[in-house]
Amino acid sequence: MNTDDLIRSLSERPAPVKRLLPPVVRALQWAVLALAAVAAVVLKMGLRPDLAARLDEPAFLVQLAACAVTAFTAALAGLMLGIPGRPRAWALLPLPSFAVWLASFGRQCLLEWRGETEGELLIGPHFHCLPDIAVMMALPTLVIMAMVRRGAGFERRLETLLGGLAAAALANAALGLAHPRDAGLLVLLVQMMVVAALSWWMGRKRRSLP
Amino acid sequence: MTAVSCIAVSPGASSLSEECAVAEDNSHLAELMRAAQDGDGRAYGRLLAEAAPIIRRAVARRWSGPEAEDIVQEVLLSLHSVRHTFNPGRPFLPWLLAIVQYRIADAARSSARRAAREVPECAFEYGLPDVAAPVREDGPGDAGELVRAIADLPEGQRRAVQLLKIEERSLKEAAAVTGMSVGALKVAVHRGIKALRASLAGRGGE
Repeated sequence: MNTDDLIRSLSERPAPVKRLLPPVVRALQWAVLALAAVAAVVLKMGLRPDLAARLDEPAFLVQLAACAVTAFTAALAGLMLGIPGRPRAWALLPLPSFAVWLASFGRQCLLEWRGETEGELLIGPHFHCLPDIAVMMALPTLVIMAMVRRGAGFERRLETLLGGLAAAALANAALGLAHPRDAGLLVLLVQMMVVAALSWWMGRKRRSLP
Repeated sequence: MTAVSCIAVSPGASSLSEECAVAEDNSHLAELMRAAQDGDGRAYGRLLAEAAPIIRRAVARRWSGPEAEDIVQEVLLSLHSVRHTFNPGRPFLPWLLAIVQYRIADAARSSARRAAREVPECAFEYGLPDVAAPVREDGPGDAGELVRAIADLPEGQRRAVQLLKIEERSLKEAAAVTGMSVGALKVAVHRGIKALRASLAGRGGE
């Protein structure tokens, strides 16, 4: 088929399409929906007994804020990359807050190594926390993946990775309010495994770009 | 200055984004795209017709292979698939040229994969290859031995092999000559070939 015939066939009866809203609006939509979902799960699980004491700790507040900022910026970056022509540098947006989140892990590991903390270790196998983590992450992950799939898909793996990071960060922030143990590292590991599987699955058809 | 001429007069532009920067007036393309998103076929046809030369030039800058026009068509198909991602409030060309860039990168990846995995069977620049049928290393075999093996077959099998395989007669003709049924001839020739194979294999091993 030559190019003129292709143009003729494409423009014969083009179906009307629903335009994507701007990425900022879509990221806000995700944040509202995901927040409502995790808030419902937190209320169902019940707030952690020592929440008031934890909220007095600056380090806990910094970690909470870093997770919340990472969640929104990663979602925004993932959705932004779904629009052709937007700079890839958007992928760097969540990195500063993600670095703060990782640094909070490092600080906690250091404290545990020096024996300045009590209870379960951050790097311990918190397998009993897995059901809570799965419930907390399910809806934010599903919603962001559905939104990512509506994008153009030229950077599908990167978009999926950022979307997964957004859901993991939000789930970790919410778990921090409900779960009596710090299982942030497990949240991140579980989510990265989920995201790796999703990236593989969504990237399978990468050969056929849209 | 139109969008098309902006691209055409900036051959020194080092990247697609710089091309976009010099393209000031592409608002009519954005308007056409808005109409196309609402299902206006005429506007869509005009848009694609105007976009095709822009795409062709952008591809020609980075791709000199014979697949250039294929890439142009792939860009048009991609544009069609992702047209819902265009925001009419934003310029059209950066959106379009980003698709071109992705498509060229994809074509380069495919080309590299092909080059790594496929080896050309022959290089025509040095003339047509010698494609004669391969010669068997063990030669055609001993004809006399075959004649002796056929002679050793039982009468029915020998006649069936002689008529059907050596004289290449049809089953009907062979049946008329021998007075055997077609089914019996088939069985006889099958058994005869099997016996010949066994006999020749045995003699070869002696």
